[in-house]
This record gives sequence, structure tokens and C-alpha cells, in this order.
Amino acid sequence: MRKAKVTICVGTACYVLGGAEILSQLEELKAVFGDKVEWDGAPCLGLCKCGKESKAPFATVNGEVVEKATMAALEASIREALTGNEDGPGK
Amino acid sequence: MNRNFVEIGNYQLAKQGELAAGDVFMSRKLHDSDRIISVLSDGLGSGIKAGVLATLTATLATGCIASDMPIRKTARLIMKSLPVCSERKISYSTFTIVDIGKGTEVRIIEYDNPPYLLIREGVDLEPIKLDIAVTNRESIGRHPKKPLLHWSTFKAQFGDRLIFFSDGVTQAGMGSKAMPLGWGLKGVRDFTNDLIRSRSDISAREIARAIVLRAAYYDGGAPKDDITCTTVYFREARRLLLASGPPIHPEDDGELAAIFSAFEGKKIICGGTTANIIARELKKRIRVSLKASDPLIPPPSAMEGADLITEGILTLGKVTEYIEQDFKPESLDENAAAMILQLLVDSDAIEFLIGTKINEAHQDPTMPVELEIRRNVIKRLAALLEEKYLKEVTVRFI
Repeated sequence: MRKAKVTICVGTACYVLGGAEILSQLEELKAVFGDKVEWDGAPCLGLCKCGKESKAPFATVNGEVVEKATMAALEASIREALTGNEDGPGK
Repeated sequence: MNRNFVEIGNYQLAKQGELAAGDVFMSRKLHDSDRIISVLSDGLGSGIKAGVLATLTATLATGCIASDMPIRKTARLIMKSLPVCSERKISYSTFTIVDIGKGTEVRIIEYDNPPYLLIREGVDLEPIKLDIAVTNRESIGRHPKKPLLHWSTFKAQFGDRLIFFSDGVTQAGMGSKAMPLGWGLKGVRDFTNDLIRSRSDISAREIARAIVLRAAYYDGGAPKDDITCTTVYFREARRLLLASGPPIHPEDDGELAAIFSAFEGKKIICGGTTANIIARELKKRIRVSLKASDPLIPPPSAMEGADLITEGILTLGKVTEYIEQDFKPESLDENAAAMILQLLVDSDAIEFLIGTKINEAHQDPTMPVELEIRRNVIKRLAALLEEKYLKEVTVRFI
């Protein structure tokens, strides 16, 4: 079974730009994926300081950065990681 | 770091049915001479009239002692100044004055309040007291009896607890079947000693509160007199370090981590980047809680060697707001800001170690909320902790 490790940034910029919503709905996401996903948090992924346009909130799925990680975007990334081909990004 | 700290805690219940208490407690810190003067006064009767007498007494006593007026003269001045009660034709108000110099030199002047308790290392000391008669014809004429002051002095040691109270405590339960003569000094003394023996780290306020509540219980839950108790606890200062913000020069990251690691006391890190720097330098791992907490306050994290890790500016802003609005930590929802507030309130000496690097991402005009500059929030928080909670605060920028 493929597994995914998801890390959600809880730093200031990510939290105010949508991270709070992810956390508030995290239980639903957990219910969707069950034990296929391991959840973690990061004090700050340091990604908000890169680039001109703010792409927070950030999360990572198996190390791959997810920009503008809304609930839908995050869920899609996780699905991709879980179903993508064996040699794909979800290694 | 055995810095001496004087913790003063007071608790009071007014006589049932009275809007105002006739017992008054006052405490003043004289910064220029490193003195703390505290007065507990019990005015004749109860309610507003007694409150006025007691307030006058406590104010005069504090002022006189602060300006080093001789004790006898102070007592005479108080007795002469109090207005005469229209019903009883006497003017009367008791007092206990506790004058603490340099954190350890204690001088106590008592007049008609129950005698104070001094408990050192579980032993109830009974200091020798000098009786001072206040002979003033004018005052005696209006006084119910010949005034006699008790004067005593001692050098406080770490762990000493000084407890004094109004007669509402010793006379609690008086007339009841269980204790017709009231709780009595011996009863209060035994209770207090047991309390300290069972909880050796109990705070000054908790002792005062426990004594007052027990007295009210003996009064059947409806205080028959004003019940007031004050405790002075001489102890080591509880120190706390709050580190927030990355150093302006990254080469100082190591210093930040070293100061944090070497600090003796409670430690908080506010800010994701700051936490990452300290964890990296000290080779520790941070565990972030993902419990859906507060929509405005990100969840706290944990790391070995730190008592609490939180997000930075939102959380610190919330702590400042809580103090500005006089919220008590125990009445708040459990979020990271409330946890910081609890740690701050439970400390005496608070050190802020503030990195001044500005996070460019926070200055983005598309941010839905205005994120303040850390340095400004910390300045406000430091001032509030000094004013509202009388904490010793230092701010150091890195």
C-alpha cells in the first residue's frame, strides 16, 4: 500500500492565508485517507520568504511542496501521491 | 541565580450583606529605596464607614513609614486623624504594618490585629516583640483602651512565609456549637502549618485564599465580619525567558541558541523560524501539535529543553490583548496565547530575547490581517507586564 507523509506549515503567513482552515478541517481529511497518510506539522517551512507573490499556505506531500494548499489542493496532491505510478513523484 | 523575590498575596471577603469591606490592604513598592510597605487595617464596625477608617489608616501608615517617621509618632498621627464614630464616640482602626527593605530586612508594627505568623522551614517561629505604649492624652480620650503597639524585626530567609490577618479570621465561627469561641489563633496556626507542610510550594495568594475561605466556611458560608488575610512569601525569583525572532545577523544564530540553552528557568520560543533556528543549533526535534485549535492562534509545538513553542506575532499580539483586557489565564480557552499568559503570570523575572530581523513575507500588502513589527508588540507587552502584573521585565535585542 502506498503511503503519504503530509506536513502542514503552521507559521504565521501560512496560518493567516488559509492554514487555519486546513487545521480546522483536518479531522475530515484524516477520515478520508485513514492510515494511508501520516500527518505532521512544521513550525515554519520557510517557503513564504521565497518568490515575489505569496503562495502560502504551504504543505508538503512526501517532500513535494504544495503551494496555495487549500483543502481541495491538498486533497488532490495526496490522492496523486497515493495513486501515481510507482516511479512517480510519490516515492 | 538565587535572586530574592518577595511575593505578596492578599485575599478578602466582605461581611455578608455589606457592599464594601471594612478591612483594607495596601501595598506600595518604593523603587528608589528598594522597599515594600504593606498595611492591613481593620476599621471599626463594617461597611463603608469602616472602610473609610481603614483606608485612612492604611494610607497614613504607608506614607509615614515611607518617609521614615518614628513609629510612635506615626501611631499618634493616625489616632488623631481618624474621625470619631458618631454612634460609638470613639475612633478606632487596627493595623499591621510590614516594612520590607532590600527584600530581606523586615520590620513589623502591629496594633490590635491578631499577631502575625512567621513560618520558616516548617517551623512556626514566634519572634520576640517589643511593646510600645502610645501615650497621647488626646488619643487615649477617644480610644477604647490604652494603645499598645508591638514592634518586631527579623531578617527574612529563603522560604520564609509571613502571614497576617484581620480578626474576621480568628473569630470565624464564633458562637457556633462546633467552636463557640471561634476558630482562634491556634486553629488558624495549625491549619496554616498543615497547609504549608502538605504543599511546600504553595503561593502567597493561595495561602491567603485558603485561610479566608476556611474562615468563611466556619462562618457557615456567610462571613459575619470582613475576613482578610495577607501572605508574604520570600523566595527565589521564578525566571522565564521568551525568545522571539531571528537575529538580524545569521551568524548570531548560535549565540541565540546558546543563551536559550544556558538559561535557568522556564523557556518559551515564539516564532516558527526562531524555533527552527534554536532546534537546528541545539540538534533537537520539534513536534507540532495539529489539533484544530483556535482559528486565530496557530497550535503550540514541543521540543526538549523548551517549555513551550508557539507561532510568533499573532500569538504575542493575542497575549498582549488578553492582558490589556484584564483576562485571567484560567478563564481563557486553551490556546497557545493563553498558555504563554499562564507562564508569564507564574513568573517573577521575565526576560525577552528578541531577534530584530524582519520577516518580509509578513510585510506583503496582500496579507488579510495586519501583522505588527515584533519589536513594537514586545515593547507593549513588556510595559503591560510591569504595570499590571508588577513583573521585573528586561528586553534584550539580538
